[in-house]
Amino acid sequence: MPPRKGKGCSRREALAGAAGLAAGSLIGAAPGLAQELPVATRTIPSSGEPVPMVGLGSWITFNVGDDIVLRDECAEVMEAFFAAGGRLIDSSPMYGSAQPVIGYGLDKLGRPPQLLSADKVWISSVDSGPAQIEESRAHWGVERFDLLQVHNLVSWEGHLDTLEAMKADGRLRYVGITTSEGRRHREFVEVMRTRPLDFVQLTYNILDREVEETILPLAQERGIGVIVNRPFRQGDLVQEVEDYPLPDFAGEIGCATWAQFLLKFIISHPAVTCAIPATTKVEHVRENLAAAQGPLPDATMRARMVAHVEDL
Amino acid sequence: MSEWWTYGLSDFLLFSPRTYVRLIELYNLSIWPAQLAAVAAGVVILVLQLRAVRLAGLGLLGLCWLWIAWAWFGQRYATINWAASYAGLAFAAEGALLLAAAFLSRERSSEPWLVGTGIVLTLAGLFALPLLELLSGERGWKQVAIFGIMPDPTAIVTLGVLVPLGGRIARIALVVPLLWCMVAGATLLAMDGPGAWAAPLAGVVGIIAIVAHLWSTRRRGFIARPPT
Repeated sequence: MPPRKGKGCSRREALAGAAGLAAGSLIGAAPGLAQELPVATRTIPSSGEPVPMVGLGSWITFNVGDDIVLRDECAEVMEAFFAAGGRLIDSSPMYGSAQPVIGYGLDKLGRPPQLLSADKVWISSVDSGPAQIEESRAHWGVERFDLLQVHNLVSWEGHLDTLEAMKADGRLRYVGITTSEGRRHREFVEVMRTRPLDFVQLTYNILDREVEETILPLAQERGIGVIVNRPFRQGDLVQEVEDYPLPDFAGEIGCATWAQFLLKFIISHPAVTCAIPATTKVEHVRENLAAAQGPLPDATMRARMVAHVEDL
Repeated sequence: MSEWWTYGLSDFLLFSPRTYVRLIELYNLSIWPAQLAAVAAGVVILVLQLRAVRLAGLGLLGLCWLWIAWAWFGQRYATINWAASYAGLAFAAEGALLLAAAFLSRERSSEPWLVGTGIVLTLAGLFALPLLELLSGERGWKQVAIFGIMPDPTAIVTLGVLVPLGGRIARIALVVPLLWCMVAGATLLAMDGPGAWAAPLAGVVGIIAIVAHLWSTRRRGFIARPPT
């Protein structure tokens, strides 16, 4: 595949997206899900490329080492993810064996063309960045990454220079930065204001909404896509609320489970491009993708959702 | 690491409890019946300790630490934890130090309470910790951490041998097991694992015993040499 330069969406990507959407209507049975509906997409602001609003994270869940049983389980999760219309998978060199496990899954699934590969550079030495990126690429077994992000702003100035050069050379399609759980937001904003970013990745959920004040509006203003990590606070949020019944109004926005309720809140924010919940269970990945089906809450409903969860 | 105070224990946990426990199980299965030899070595160390011949035990311990550095940290744990290779280096250094201590140290007589504390720690690492894991109901017998095979019980047994020993090398050799007891507790605590308190408690007991011994030695020295 020849390298592509600049912005825009290739035919292969458009077809892959369409294939993903088509697959979305064929997802396997999961109780209470609106299966006939396509998975909703948001466009990447810098290119106009559509991306399903629910992706797949790999923090902890895909770090299973050489355990072949667990590797196969991860591959099954990926299979269900692609079958349900998913595209974006995110990882990092920090996540232990998650990268080779993703590569194993991609091999097993015959390299699904709809994959949108997102990884990170995470090393204090800027000079060692390209070698780490190459190692990550080899683990995934992809020709090149779609998106590379500077993990937790580690040595971000130098790494962004590297990533911007890779993008200019057509060796990378999108550039981003990440943070999690509200860390270094002031510096994060400064980078958003001063560097040409395609994506930012951050933590946002129904209880952690600090980013609504500055970062999400700034992303909209500057045309930067937003990937949301830790949408369930590593599962704690779902555990905290699942003892309570879903509110009656959950049915109005097509939520059959708490996980969908929490995900719909996140992806309904107009600045959010996609959320990337991580899971080891096939039924959960289907449930997560189904959150990107059917109606999304409007501003009034979002306020109602927040009030309800905060009252629990 | 910026904003370090915002990080919790779970932020440092790179894997799920299930992955970790399966890793132990696969490791145990792959080396069976080495566990029997390891426990036999542990019993030998205990018997030597009871007979106040502790230096030979140090040699056996050194070999155990070297094995764990290679087989557990290098071959297994490093596949899910990038920090494991650093821990493996520390374990290898400890193994070398224990072997050196076995040859370079000399047997010293210890106070009975200090010897007793050491034996209790050895028994804890050798038998109590695996039993605790089994009785918790959270680990099957294939998933239990065994002395000489896994780091946590080995660190506790090593404390048991070193605490009553005295001498500079033995004191230096205490550092890694003590640190590991804290790391082990933090790891299990982050996973809500069984007996997360056990290794740190063993470490605290070891520290208290050493401090008490140093204090009593200094006090005796002060009384023996009254000011002129």
